[in-house]
Amino acid sequence: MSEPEEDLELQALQRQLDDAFETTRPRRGFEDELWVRMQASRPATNRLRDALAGLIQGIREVPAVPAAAVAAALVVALGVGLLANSGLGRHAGGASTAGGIPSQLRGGDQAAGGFGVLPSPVFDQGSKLSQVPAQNSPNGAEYAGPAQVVWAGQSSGAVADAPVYRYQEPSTNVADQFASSLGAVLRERPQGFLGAYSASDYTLKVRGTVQSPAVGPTYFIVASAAMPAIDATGASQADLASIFLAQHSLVPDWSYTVSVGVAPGEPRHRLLPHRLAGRGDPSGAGLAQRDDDDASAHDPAHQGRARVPPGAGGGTQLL
Amino acid sequence: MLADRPPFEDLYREFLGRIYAYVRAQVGASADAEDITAQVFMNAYQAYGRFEARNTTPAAWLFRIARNATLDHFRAQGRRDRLRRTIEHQPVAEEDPAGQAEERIRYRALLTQLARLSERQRDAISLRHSGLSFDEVGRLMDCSEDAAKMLYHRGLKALKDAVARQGV
Repeated sequence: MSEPEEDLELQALQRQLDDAFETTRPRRGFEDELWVRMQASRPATNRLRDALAGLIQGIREVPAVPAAAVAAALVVALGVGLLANSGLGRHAGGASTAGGIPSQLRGGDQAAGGFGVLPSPVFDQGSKLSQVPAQNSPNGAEYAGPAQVVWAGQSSGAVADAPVYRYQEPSTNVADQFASSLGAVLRERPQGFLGAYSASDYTLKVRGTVQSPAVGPTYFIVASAAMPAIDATGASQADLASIFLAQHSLVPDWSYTVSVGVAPGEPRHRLLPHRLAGRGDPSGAGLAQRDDDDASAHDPAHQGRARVPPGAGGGTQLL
Repeated sequence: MLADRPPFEDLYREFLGRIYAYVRAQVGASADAEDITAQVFMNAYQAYGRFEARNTTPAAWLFRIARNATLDHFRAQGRRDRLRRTIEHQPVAEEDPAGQAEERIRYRALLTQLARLSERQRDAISLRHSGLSFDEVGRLMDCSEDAAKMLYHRGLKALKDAVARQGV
C-alpha cells in the first residue's frame, strides 16, 4: 500500500474514532440518576461540620435540646430569588455545588431585557375598604374581627422611586431541574404546584406565582419523620434552622440573618434574608419549624407564615 | 471559595458523556463503564474542593481520575478472575450476552478492537479522541508530548491493521 493511501486510511480511521467517542454515551437517565446519588452521598460529617461552622459564636454549655422539639418537621419556603440566584448549597461543604439552576434564570440582570420599561410609581387610588362585619359583638364586648377603617387626609409625600422585584415565572421544567439539583426526585404534580419531589429525608414542593393574594414562586421543604434529630448542645431555634439549611445545602449565598419569633400557642420560625441591594428579584426565603404535619404546610393560612411576598424584598425571618 | 472554578454541575454535565466514552473504550461491558463512571464523578465531587484550576484543566483533572479508576478496576478484576478460576477451575469467560447485544451498536466493533491494543496505545488513543491535547495526554501518561504522539500513531496503525484483519 502506498504511503498516501495509508494516510487516507488512517485519517478515515481517526474520523471513525471521533464518531465512536462522540456517539458512545451512557443510557438515557443515567446522568440524572448519578447526579441524585451524588447529592445524596455527601458525607454527613462534612455537612454537619459546615453547618456548625456557621453557627453563632459563643454558644454556651447548656443541656441538649430535647429531641422531641428538634424532631419537629421543618418547613422551608424560599422565593424565586433563590431559584434565580442559584445560591443554594454554596456555603455548605467544599464539594457542594448544588446548582442545577437553569442558565436562563441565573442572575437578575440576565433576564432584565425582557421586562420592558418600568412604570413610574403612583399611589393606589382605588378603594381598599374592608368588609364591615355583619354582626356586632354581643353586649358590647370587645370585638376582634375585621373593621372598616377610613383614613381622610392628603399625602404630601412624593414617591420618586419604589422597589420593583421582577422574575421569570418558573416552568415545570425549571422546577424539575431545581429539585434535581437538591437531590430530589419528581413524585407527582399536585394541583397548584409545579411539582412535588422526594429526597432522602425530606419532601419538596415547588409552587409558581399565586395571583391572589400575591405571592411569588415559592418552594416548601418538609422534613420527613426519618430525618434524624439535630443534637447541637446549646443551639437556639435559629441555630437549628441554620443547621437544617446547611445540612441540606440550602444556605443562600447572600448575607442573611436569623430572628426567632414565637406565635401564641404555636412556636414557629421564619428566616428572612437581607434585602438584596441592586438585585432586581424577589429573594424571599423563609424557614419555618413546625410541630404539625406536611398537610398543614399547604394550608394558605400557614403558608402565609412561611413566605415572603414579592414586595417584601429579600428580608428573611424565622417564624 | 469556588469563585475561580466553574460549578461542579457544569463539569458534570459537560464531561459525563466523554468520561463514559473513554471508560467504555477501556472496559468490556457498559455496566462496568457505568460503575466506573459513577465512581469517577463521586470521587471528583468529593475532591472538587481541592481542585486547583491554575494547575491543570478540569478535563485533565477528570480524565486523570477516570484513568486511575479504570486501572483500579482492571486490578480488581484481575484479582477476581484469578480467584474465580482458582476456585471453580473454569476458563476465562467468553463475551457476556449483554456485550454480544451491544455489537449491534454503531462503532462497537471498532471500540472492541481498540480495547485489544496494548494498554498504553489504547490509553493514548482514547484520551486523544476524548478531546485532550497531546500535551495533556502526555502529562496523564507520565511521558512527553512527543512520546504521546508516537504512542498514538503507533496505536493507530496497529488498530488499522487489526480492523483490516477482522473486516470491521
